[in-house]
Amino acid sequence: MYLFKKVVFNCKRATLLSLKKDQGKITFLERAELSYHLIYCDPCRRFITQSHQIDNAGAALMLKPPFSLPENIRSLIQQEIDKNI
Amino acid sequence: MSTTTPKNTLQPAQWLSQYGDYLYSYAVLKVGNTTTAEDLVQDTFVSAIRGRDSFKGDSSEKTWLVAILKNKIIDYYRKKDVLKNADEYLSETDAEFTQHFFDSSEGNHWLRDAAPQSWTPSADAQLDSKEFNEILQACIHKMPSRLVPIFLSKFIDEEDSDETCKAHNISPSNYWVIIHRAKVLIRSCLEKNWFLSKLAK
Repeated sequence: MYLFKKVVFNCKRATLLSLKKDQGKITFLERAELSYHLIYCDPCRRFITQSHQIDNAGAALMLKPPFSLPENIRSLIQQEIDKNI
Repeated sequence: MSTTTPKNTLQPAQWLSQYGDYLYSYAVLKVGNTTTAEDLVQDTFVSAIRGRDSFKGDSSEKTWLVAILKNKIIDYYRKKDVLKNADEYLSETDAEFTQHFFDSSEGNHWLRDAAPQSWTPSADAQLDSKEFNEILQACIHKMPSRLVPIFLSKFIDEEDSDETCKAHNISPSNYWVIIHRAKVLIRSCLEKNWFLSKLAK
């Protein structure tokens, strides 16, 4: 019963294991523990889906650089480059 | 002069127009401060010009410049000591982190208020918008600064955990604790400020 409770209720551990699994760094026993937890836990399943959505946003971030150098800084940097070429 | 023609050559005069915004965005995301990011970009270009003989032409110019910037960012974090005494820091702050999200009297089940909610599906369609990027940026740099470098090595660089542990000199178990805390925090921050907020209509 103690072990049951430890595995079924521990969302802190399950979410950590899910991140290890994402990177292929989960052990066989941890994988079994996570799968068992997820049978019973809707919030953790939701956490995993949302975590993947956030990862996708991160991976897409640099495809279109979100910030631009201010013009005044740009000309200062260009001067510095020209000086050093 | 080398007799073999390198696959890629350097064109420093074009760097700013071609890679300026890319390197700047990368630096802003990583350090969370525009002034520091501007300095890092300038230092990167100057170091690259001075060290151009080390460019072998095997990688692209852009990859080479990003690698130089990445090393400068690692040095920046190192100077700020953000990863010093990671063991101590993580164990001292564990209870505080846990009590915000998990019920330790119930074996660390999600607290009712902290459990992930269903997100507005339409919020997903605007994940590349300027507003989302600003909120994402704010959420990243709202988390404890000690978590940021490790989190971003995965989030932006998609770097392998072994490589990150080596570059930042931390143990695998601390790596997973940091990645976990950061993800729990950023998920919660994005949920409050984007996925359930009126900004995402």
